[in-house]
Amino acid sequence: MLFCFGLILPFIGQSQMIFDTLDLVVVEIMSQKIEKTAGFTVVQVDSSTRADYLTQNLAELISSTTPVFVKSYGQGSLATTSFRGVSATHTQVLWNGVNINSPMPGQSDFSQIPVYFVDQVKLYFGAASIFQTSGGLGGSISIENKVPWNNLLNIELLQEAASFETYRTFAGVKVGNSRFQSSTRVLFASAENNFEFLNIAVSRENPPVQFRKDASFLQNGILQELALKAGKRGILSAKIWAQENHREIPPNILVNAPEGNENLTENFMRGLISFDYFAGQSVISAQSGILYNFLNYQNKTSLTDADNTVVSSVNSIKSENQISDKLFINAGLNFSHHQVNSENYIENKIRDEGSLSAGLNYHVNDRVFLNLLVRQEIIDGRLTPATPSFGIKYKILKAEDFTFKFNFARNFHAPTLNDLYWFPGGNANLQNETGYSSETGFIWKKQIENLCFETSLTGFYSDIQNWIMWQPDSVNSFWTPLNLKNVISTGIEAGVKVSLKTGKANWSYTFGYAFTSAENKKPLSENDQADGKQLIYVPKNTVNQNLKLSYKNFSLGYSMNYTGKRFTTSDNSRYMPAFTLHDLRFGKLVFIGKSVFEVNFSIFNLTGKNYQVIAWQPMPGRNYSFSVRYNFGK
Amino acid sequence: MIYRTKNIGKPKLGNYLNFRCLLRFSMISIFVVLIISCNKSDDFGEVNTGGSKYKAGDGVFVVNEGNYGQGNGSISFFRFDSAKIENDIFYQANNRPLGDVPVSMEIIGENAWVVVNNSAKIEVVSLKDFSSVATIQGFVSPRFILQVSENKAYISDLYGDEISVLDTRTYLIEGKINLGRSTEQMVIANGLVFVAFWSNYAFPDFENNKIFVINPATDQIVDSVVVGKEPNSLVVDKNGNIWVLCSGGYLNEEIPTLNQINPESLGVSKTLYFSDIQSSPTALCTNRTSDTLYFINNGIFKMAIFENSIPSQPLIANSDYLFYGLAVNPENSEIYTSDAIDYQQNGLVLRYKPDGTFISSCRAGIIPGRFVFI
Repeated sequence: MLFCFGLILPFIGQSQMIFDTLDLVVVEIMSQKIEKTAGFTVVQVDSSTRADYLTQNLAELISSTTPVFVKSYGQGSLATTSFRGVSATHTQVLWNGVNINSPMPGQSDFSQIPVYFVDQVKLYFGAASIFQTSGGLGGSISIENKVPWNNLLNIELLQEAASFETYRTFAGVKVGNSRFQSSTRVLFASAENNFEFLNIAVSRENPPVQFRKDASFLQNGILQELALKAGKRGILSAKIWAQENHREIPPNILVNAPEGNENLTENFMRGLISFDYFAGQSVISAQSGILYNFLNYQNKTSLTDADNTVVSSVNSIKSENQISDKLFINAGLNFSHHQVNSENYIENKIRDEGSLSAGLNYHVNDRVFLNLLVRQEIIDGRLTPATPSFGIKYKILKAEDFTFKFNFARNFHAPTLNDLYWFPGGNANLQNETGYSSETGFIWKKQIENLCFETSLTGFYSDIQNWIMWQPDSVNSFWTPLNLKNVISTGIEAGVKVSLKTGKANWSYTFGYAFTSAENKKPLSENDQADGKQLIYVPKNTVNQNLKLSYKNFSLGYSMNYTGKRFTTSDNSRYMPAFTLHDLRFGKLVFIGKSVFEVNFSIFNLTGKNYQVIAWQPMPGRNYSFSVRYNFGK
Repeated sequence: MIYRTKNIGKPKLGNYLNFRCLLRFSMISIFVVLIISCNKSDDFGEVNTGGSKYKAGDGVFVVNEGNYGQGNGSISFFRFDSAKIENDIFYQANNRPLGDVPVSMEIIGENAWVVVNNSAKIEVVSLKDFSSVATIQGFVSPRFILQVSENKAYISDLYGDEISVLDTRTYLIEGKINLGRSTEQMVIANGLVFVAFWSNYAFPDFENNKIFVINPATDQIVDSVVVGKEPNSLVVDKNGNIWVLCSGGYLNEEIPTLNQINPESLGVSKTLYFSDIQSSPTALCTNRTSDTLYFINNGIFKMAIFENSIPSQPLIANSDYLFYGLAVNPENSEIYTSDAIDYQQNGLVLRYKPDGTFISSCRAGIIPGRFVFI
């Protein structure tokens, strides 16, 4: 089974031993494997995939290896995700359990999450996101840092040089013993990003080759972690993640903007202290953090220079208890306070969020697993809809690992602070977006000697009411958000994973396909031709495939990603064409004593496809990356 | 770089359909060739094959703004005789997109001059077939173009503090007139150019309630007239008076007003107040005889220039539509307006008889904003 875990693609319906993050002493108190997310879709990006994308950001990892659509304006530019056809604000992002979506736009920019700073990535599809937080009408992404308690000393240096004057330097030092660990990681990245593209805005027949201008970026960051075992039963840990991000915002290629017209600086500092206490069959975790986010946007043409600062305090306490071999219960309490000082708001704004959750996992017998969770929140003194969720996993065949899953949940998403307070236009009377979602599916796993096979098929349905949409107010003075739409999103996700070991060679292959229909079901008037049409920028079809071969210390990887056409107008009268990207990777490991050298060479967009994810935002053609990693560990 | 790639996602059916289309297209082409050949052999005189596609009296151009930053603006042409609309005519003629947010268009001479705001350019196209004649750059955020003399045009600018002076023969910017603030709609009356200072977004130190008066012979500012807040549209009536519609500010700071400026004294000779401070009237326009004013204030209103108050009832109520652009056909006083629906789909162009009776509607491009009759 462990062999299966080492595959390229995340696997579906993963069973997870509780407290797998903790050290062996602690873990042994939990004898039973309890499936905390049975009946739901939780996908963990495995360590081998993480290693392949180590120099990149989370946007690139997700778009290449999962069915989640990443709406990217280009390398280093804003990248947001769409899970199961819904919008970017419907993806919640949690760092070690803390929601790091900015409360202003209500979303995260995945180009600012370096894979190097993340040890584990999990994608919670649809209703599964309620395990983490409310508001993930599409899903949630959890990024976590893990403490390697058996580490004594580990030093790592990683240097990448890539096309378009892209340079990234990473360094990490991990030092400690079985009671104390310290981990320090730093990142320095910069890119001129002046890639060549064919400008079809000048002529479709004979597009001239041009260079992308004003697209450079700079990213510097540090992640410091400390973990200490306090007595026999406690673990105290602290984390600080600070990062500065500067980037030029290139205009679309129809715009002749003055040089360096738009610039964005986003600096953040996230600090977190947690304490986990283990008593008998229970664990109590308390966590407290401060998130600071500064964003400055400059536009020379419109003479805009706006500062936005958000300071959040996040606090939680949760308890998980194993009552018996079959029953596991948990409860949690969260409180967050956000303070926003924005030049785009009339006055400083605050938001207070509190939530209470309680859940249970119950193994009815060897074949039936039940899962129940209820969460109730209060936002700025107002009770939000309760979000109950229910999941069941049923092992259909006794002899085979063939399971059925079903889940159902109610969820909601509160208007973002920009929706409420942006000046002008913010609408303080907005209602929550509310939704129901359900999914069902099958998973079949099989192992025949050295061949490991897994396939899954999931169908989902979700109905979101009061969908918030910005449009001009009734007198066309400015744009304002209203609870205008009803969106029904349905679809299918299918996946196959095969791995094979032959002699010294390891083969693995994954295939993922998603069909997503996200339709607007509430016409604004009888003339509204958006009725029943696909939402803009939601591809109906996406495919990804990965093939990896490792032989001795060589590795060869190939990945392919197909993104279907995306409509750009609500009546589906215009669209962006589908595109297929192919990437190749070569790697070589050299072991010298306790040191490891790794050399990697990658070719992205192998066929040099001229494509755009977003209309008139060109993407690079064939490009290359070369990296060298040195690791010393004992 | 290699850009020839196989599109793996393309189904085989698509190739088949393309083949069918090609076949149909070839057949149509053969048919057309046959007709032309037949015509040539006729004895009915010379066949004019080089005629202009867009002749005076043929129809009305619709400027579809599109969404900011998304480059989906376009030009449509509604043809009177067939009552049919031709969309994306710039793209059809030039095989490239028009640009980001076309906001206005004027016909000067044999050409149409399209002001493309966020692309900071003017596309000059021939009225023969809408093919590109020139692309003029050198603006910050151009909004409107006005011909001020035979070979000279002014271009107003939203974020720039100058008006550009253009030579319409050479397509070159010959000079700039510095006003120190933003400029919007312009009209010419009594040999003077009246320019609205509509938005003070980029010039917050100034009150945006002025009409600047420029002498086009000298390109000098000669005066300015204080009107209401946010003067968004201007017209000249049959007596030569200038009418200025002021929305009162996008935050409804003031009661909206309709102001009449005397072109001789350069003073406000009449101010009509709207009844509701919450209202936000826009799109002032007039008919051919310039004796009637039209504007949008939720509904579409019509008033004679001699009236002394704003009518209380609209000519066309907004019960079915959310009106966006407005113009009156100079030939027959039919009313053309638009509804952008959700501002993300092809909007409606709506036609009404002079008495406000609905005639028909058709789909133009995204956010149909302005109409230009030829």
